[in-house]
Amino acid sequence: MSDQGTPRSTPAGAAPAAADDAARGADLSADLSADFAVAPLLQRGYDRGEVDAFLARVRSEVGRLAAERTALREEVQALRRSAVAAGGAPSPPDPTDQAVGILAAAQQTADQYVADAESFSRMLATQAREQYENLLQQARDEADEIVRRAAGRAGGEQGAPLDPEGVVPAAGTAAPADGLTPEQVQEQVVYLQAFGRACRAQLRAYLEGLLEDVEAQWGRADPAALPEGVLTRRDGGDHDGAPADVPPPGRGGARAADGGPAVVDLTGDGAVPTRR
Amino acid sequence: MRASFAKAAAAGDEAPLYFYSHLFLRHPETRPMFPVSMAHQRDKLFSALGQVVALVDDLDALVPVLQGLGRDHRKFGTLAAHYPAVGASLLATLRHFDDAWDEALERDWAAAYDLVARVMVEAADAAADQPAWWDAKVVEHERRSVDVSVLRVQPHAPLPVRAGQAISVETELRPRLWRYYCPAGVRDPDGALELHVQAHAGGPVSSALALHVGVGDLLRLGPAVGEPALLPGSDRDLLVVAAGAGLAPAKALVAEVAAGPPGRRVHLFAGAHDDAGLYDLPDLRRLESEHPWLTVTPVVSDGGRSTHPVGDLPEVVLQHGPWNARDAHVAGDRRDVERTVELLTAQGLPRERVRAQVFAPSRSGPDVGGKVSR
Repeated sequence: MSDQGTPRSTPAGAAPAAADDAARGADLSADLSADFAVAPLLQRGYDRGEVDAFLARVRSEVGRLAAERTALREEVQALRRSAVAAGGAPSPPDPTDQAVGILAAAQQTADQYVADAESFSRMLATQAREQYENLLQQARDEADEIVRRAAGRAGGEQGAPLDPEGVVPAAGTAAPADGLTPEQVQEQVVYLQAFGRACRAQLRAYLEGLLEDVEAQWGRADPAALPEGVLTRRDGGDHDGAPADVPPPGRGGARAADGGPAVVDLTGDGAVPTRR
Repeated sequence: MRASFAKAAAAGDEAPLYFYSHLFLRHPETRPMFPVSMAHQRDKLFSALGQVVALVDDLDALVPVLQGLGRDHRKFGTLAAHYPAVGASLLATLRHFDDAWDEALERDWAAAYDLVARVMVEAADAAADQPAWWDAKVVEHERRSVDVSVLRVQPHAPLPVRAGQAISVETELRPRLWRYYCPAGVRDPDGALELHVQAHAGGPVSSALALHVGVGDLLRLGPAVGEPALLPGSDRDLLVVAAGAGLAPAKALVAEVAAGPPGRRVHLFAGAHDDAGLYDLPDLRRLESEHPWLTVTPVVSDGGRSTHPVGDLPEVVLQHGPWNARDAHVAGDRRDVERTVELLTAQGLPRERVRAQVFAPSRSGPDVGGKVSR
């Protein structure tokens, strides 16, 4: 009797095709207890005793098969579980010692390369760090030195030829030098910065004046060679460059009128660059 | 069994080398679960096995160790199916290195390994209600100094972690290398974690995290491990001493105190070599202004140009004392931590009220190094 045949052969016609397989065996056994209606008197039919006996046989047979199927299903599941537990496949063969040795050697080579790369990068990073720290220290020392010198000069003589721009002392880091308090040093630094700006503005004015002289001389000699607009710019274009807050001292004086030889004094002896 | 393990252990690196080669040949699918370089992995394997063998007579101590191992292995993608494969290769290794190997020994080892595997698998299954690992996206990455970065990472699901606990971190840039970091707190309400990473010269993971990882990159995080920093049941004021990298758990602690019942004062000492080492000072000042119970004292050891208190961190902490009425949490490099603990206890602070956390570059310590393998 096949699986499909079983339900069809039951007189009750129960065919729980979609039911859970495990439960199906039990359903079948229950359905098989169905009784037939007794045929009316005088109607011809099978011998009732025989039918009952056959049904009893069918019932026990189906019950046995259902039980057997449940047992088999459980066994399959158990086997499947153990197969999964064993690595999803029948246990693979043990590799030979030779294969293990070859893979081990390859792994060691790889490990060595990684270790070498790491130690190389460690070396580089350490060196770079040292260099970075040295440079930083050096820059700090230089900055300290500049601030100290500036403080010293500012304390000694007014008007040191120093442009302290770019030296930005961190708040409160200036150590007292030459008996000055940090506040005094700070003041000096501010003064020197302003002084530096003034010097720069003055120098620019002077150089512009010089250029104008050159052009004036040149223009006198060969007016056609002058670039367009030079002569007009001389009047309107000399405001650029100097910081608005620091009026360029001595600008007028620096503007050359005679085109004579010019010397810029940058030695620091004079407070302002002058033309001699 | 001990004797046969001793023989394998005596073979040094050869034994784990044989074990892994055997495992990978027999089950090639397990190879991608390990990093490229297996050198450190091999050390871990035998130190873990040694630990298990040493504790084999003391089940009360052994079982928690195994359970921890089992849970910890979930993040590596270890499945129950992998355990028999490992067992077979382990037996093959022991057999290979033991001249006196026989059937009885094989049976004993197989039985012992089955037990070990069962405890580990059961612990892993019991932890199945939380993710095996958390995918976390880097949402902020700030380089604070030449080698320190502060990262904010957003896990895909809430990752429960308390102050003082560490989580393991893996980046796609360095696959299969896990390193432990103490988060500097969990941000409300999105649950983003703050990580402080110092790039160690030659450190593959730390330098990748500090210098190469960018916003949008994915990290993988393992579950929290270790003891929380706050002593259970205590409401004493706190002294928190953080040297260098110890700042992260210290910040987490401040956040945890802030979330707890009010009234606890915290004095936080943040030590660094110089001003540049105080990479998170603005945020500490912000916390200080938000929490009246918090005092932050930065300390630099090389104070050439610093405006902060200058001196040796443990000494400076002691000078601000006495601290005997407080609980203390000390975290940072070994030297500062040990010295601070020594001075505090000498001053009369009971040792059991001092929590010490030593941070070391990866691989030299259990705190930051990768965890043992199976």
